[in-house]
Amino acid sequence: MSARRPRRSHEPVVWLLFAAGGMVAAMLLPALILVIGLAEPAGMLPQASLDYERVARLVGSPAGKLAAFTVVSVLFWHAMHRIFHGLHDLGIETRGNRYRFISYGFALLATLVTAGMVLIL
Amino acid sequence: MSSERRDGPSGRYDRPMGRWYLRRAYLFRYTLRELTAVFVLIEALILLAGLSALVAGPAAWAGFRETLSHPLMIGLHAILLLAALYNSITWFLVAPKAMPAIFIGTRPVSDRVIVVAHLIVFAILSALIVALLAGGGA
Repeated sequence: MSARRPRRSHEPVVWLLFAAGGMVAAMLLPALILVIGLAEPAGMLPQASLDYERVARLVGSPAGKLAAFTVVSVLFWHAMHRIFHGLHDLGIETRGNRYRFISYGFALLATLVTAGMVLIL
Repeated sequence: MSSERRDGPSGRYDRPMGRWYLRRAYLFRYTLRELTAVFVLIEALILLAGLSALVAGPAAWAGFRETLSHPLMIGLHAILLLAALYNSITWFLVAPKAMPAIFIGTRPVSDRVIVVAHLIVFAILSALIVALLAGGGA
């Protein structure tokens, strides 16, 4: 409880996760959405592209698990960081910790769920 | 005079915020960019749902794919794609401002080179993702 000890901000940590998520979202998300959400449902890909066996093998490999965990979890940090700071723009008083806990708590929860999914896959 | 002050819950003067995002074009673009976070969140939840379906087994995965084939979901993904592309472009455009300056020898690398480099990497990674996910056959 020393008065000289500066208060540490959590901002560098969440900003790093936000930036990582921003890079992932910027670099990878359009192609992922195009394939999974548009091309495949529209039948524009080879029949077996997203078959269970193939995707399970792809995502279930050690590299696939690491990639899936990293991509999905940092997307949550990116989105929640922006949404948290967006609350201020909407005129919501965000000083204090309540909205921080909700925003980053949700990102942390989603990260843990994603980790759990990847581990049991 | 003090009766004209609009004090917010914090006791400070709060500037009126009604539709501030429509006042200037750059404020509107800023708002659109920040709004992409909502769509990124939706896509992250969809990807997590897909991951859960993969964990749950072939039947759940088939159900997930069936959901994705619903016309409403395809429409949603068209919106998600537009939002994601807007996010990508704005992200690459601010990249030179967000990163430390790079020098070749003593000459700083121009903003345009940095943005174009990001676009090239984006094109390559996008092609790789399509190539990786599309395919199968055997």
